[in-house]
Amino acid sequence: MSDLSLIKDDKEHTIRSRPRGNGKLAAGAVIFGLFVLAAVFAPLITTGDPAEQDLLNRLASPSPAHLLGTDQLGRDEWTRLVYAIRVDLRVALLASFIPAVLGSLIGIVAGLGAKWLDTAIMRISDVVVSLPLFIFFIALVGLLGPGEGFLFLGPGELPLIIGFTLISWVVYARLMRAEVRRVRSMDYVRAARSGGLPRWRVIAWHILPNVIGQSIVYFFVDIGLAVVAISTLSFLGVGIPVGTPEWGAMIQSARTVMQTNWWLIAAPGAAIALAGMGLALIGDGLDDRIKS
Amino acid sequence: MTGTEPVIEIANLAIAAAGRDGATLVDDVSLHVDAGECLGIVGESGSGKSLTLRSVLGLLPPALVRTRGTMRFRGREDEEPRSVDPRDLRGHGVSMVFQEPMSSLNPTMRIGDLVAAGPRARGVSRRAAADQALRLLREVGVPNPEQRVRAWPHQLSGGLRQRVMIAMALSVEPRLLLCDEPTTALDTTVQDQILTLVERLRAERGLALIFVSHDLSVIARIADRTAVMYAGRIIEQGPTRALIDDPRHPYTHGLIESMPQLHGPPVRLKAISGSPPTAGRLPSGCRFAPRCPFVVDACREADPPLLNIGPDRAGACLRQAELNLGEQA
Repeated sequence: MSDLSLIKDDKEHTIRSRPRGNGKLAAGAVIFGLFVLAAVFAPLITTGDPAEQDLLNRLASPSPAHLLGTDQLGRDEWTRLVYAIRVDLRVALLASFIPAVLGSLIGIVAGLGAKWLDTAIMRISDVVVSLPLFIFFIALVGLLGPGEGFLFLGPGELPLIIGFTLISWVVYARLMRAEVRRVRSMDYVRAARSGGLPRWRVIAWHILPNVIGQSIVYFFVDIGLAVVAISTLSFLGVGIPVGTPEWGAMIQSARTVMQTNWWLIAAPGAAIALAGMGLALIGDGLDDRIKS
Repeated sequence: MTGTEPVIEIANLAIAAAGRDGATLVDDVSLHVDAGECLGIVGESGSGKSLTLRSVLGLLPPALVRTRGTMRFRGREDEEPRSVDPRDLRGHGVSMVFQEPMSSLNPTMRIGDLVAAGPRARGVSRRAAADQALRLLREVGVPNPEQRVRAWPHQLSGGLRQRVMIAMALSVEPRLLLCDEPTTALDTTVQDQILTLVERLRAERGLALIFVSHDLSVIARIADRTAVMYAGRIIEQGPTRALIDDPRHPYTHGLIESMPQLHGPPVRLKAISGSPPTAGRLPSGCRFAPRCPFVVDACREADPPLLNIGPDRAGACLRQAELNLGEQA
């Protein structure tokens, strides 16, 4: 008897224990949350103006007045670093969200639609995948121009978002197509069809809720990848213009003084890595949650 | 209650892989089920029994097509049989219980919503459908249905899920219930409970059943009549009792021989030697000839047709008149 009750307790324990992945999800959420908080409350935790120049205090070392020192124009590095979150996350969010929505829709259509449509979409996606990313962006910026501000977007942001939309939809489309094809042959979809449910209802109730999880997971990973890509493009001069508080542009302009003021490169570099890691952790944690 | 008029009649059904030279997987299958009757279809994996069943509702896998066959269905007792398209039967007169209770319930919907989905799609109000779901869950023996309607599929055991599946199937008031190995994925005691439930529902609702299984002992328990399928064809059919007591086809005989017996002196279980042919590479002549212990040269020349041999019985063995398989069993 006692043995049996032991087994029972043990079983209950495994059922109750939280699904794996919570640690990753929590860590990622804390990191990402700190970035968002810093961006929102930027005026409170910085000098308040990332463009303010202190020409007598150029290339200062970190001090209580300038936490991360100043750059060649005497601008406070910490202030610029924090204000850059607004630029980088805004562009990265839009450059992931728009392709996530469009790509998912396209993939679902490919997975459910006629064979010729599926083939057409997949061949187009093959073409897009074969484009070299940086050369594509250089060509695109050459075509569209560096771009003025647009609505709430700063200079150089719109061409980036358009470029990412043209390229990243492919990942979501392929992901959703594969998921739809997997779920479409599940018994519960057959069961729904056998019950005489209308086609739109089978899709809306039985297919979509079981496929979109993968897109959401990838969306978070993708924001992180976009942060890295945006700063890379800005570093190469085809993204956000130099002078804007943006991590890649900051690294670019500090390049010449990295022998003496290495933290001007290290700080934005660390910010890029940390933001990317936080978002990847969220994606990974969500993935574990979905699979458990 | 065995009606005399069939609920469903399927004639000359053939299913093949899509494409010009697609292999034929189900070949010239004809069957009928009377009102309130249970037809068992037994056969090993790949014999075409599940495909036959799925084709009734047009649920074949994407790469397969029905190449021949007609289907007639009688929606009500006083109705004339009419030719039907499989899609017409979905939710209207026919429903299906699937094999795998783990994958046959949508993981993103609660139990109550799953059972209510069928009635909702037919225009029943949200509240009435929820009441109906509760009543159905009670009818199929789900304990505490008031609480279970809020549960997610992953919170239920395999047996309970299969009960929910059956409640979903019943929610559209079918006359004919298609059972695709509903007990195969369950352990033996749960299997017994589900069979008891199906028998009870059949008696209470006057359901006609087509019950597919690879397990002859399950079929022997539940089916009035049985069709034995081998390599895409029906090779023998007849009343279940008579078929088991006096099999006419060596394959049926082999299936019976390979069933373990609880009573009588212990005997070594006999297996059928060899394995079934691959679709598209059938042997010439009788499909079972390469594995048949009673094979003669004539067997390899032509595939013997399914011939009537007495009341409600048919067999497709060249030597069915001379072999006395029942005696040997």
